Amino acid sequence: MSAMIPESIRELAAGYALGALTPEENSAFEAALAESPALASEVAEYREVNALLAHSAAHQPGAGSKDRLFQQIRRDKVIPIRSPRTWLAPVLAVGLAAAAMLAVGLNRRVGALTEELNRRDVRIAAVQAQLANRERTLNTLLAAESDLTVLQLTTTGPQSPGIQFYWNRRSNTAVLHAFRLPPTPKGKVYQLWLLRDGKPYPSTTFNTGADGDALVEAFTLPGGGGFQAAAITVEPDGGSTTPTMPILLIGKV
Amino acid sequence: MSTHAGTLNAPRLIGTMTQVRTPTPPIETSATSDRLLLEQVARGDEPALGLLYDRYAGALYGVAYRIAGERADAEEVVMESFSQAWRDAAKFQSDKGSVVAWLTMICRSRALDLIRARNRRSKLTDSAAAADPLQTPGMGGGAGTTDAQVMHDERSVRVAAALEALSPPQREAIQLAYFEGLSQSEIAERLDEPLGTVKTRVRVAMQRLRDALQPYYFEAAP
Repeated sequence: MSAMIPESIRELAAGYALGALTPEENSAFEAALAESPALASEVAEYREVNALLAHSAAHQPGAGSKDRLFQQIRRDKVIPIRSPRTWLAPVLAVGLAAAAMLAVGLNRRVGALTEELNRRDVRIAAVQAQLANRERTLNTLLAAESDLTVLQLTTTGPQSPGIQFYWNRRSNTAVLHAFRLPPTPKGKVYQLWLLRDGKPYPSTTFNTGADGDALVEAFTLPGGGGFQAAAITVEPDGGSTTPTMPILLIGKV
Repeated sequence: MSTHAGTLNAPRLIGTMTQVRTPTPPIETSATSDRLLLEQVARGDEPALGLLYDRYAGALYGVAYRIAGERADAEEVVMESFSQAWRDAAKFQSDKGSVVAWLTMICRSRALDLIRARNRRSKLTDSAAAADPLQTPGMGGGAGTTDAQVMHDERSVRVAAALEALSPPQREAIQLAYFEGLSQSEIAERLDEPLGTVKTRVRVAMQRLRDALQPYYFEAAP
């Protein structure tokens, strides 16, 4: 399904890919993006340009960086990044690092602590970005007030996959949480459909991780509202304009 | 919070889903596609992540350094970016661009988050990169020249030429948006120019870059 996109919206594509739009422009553009494969294709092209711009000053980082990466991902297997306790870890680590360095002299202590702080800056920034996403999700739920519709898309069985779908009818945005849903086969994605008067409207595509979990945060639904049901199908990469049967999960308002 | 609970239909499953995990195939050649490597990464294949790192760490380091302005920070951003790729590989959506475009988006976002956090802490200091943002210092003991590096070098030349072909105001607008993370409104304010002028400048510059660089995309855009 492809809608006619006003020129004023299409002109935002380059700024969107650069992340240079205001929040209001961003919302308007994403609403159009959800309904226009052509617009999505244009954004994808600008993202390729972004990737190429990174090569204007490419240079290999230090040889030890790769080893540190693998040390970190092995460590992350033990300490899940989503754990709230992870937020405390940097503070505790900095404290412990500082205490240990007291024994080896002031100069070394200051130098090492500065380096550690730099690393923590990066991680704190990442956590802040994650928190900002969570805030958007929370706002989507809270700002709906009485206009929040909650759908459970489930299957039978105690360990069956399911989807929680929170629809803010006021802003026509939603949050989707999938659980126990196995990743799709290669080249496929899950796609959400909104049904109105028996007609399916394509919405976001997503996939789950190895744990069967996925959270699609604060996305804009197709225009018009008034949906009577939501459903999930498996579609080719990039999504479809008409659903491919069978419907895997469905929930009615 | 008052909520309207939708009618919860009797759960039902139409059709079936199959378990999709498959054995990880070996990495055969250096020409293994990025998407195949990322699929292997999603299945927990560390050597596949290593190959992606070899291909793109240089480019990501370059952009991270130009944004963050500190070598240690740039290295940390690159490491965190690949760590995120490791965790989120299964969620990659190929319809939204190539693997390297996705990696670049992660890296740029992390680097910009870093400088914003730094600004909030009022710890932003002058840096070598700020003095000349087109220069990126190498790290001592950096990796030697590889096939990937040669490929990057060729692309670097093309990208530099495409940037050079822009008008100075266009180039400045792209620099401010891409490397400083400024919105078009913030660019207009910084340059004391009308917002409409800046929007046009950014749009036309990106269109010109797209037209010039299309033959050098890492993978065909969808």
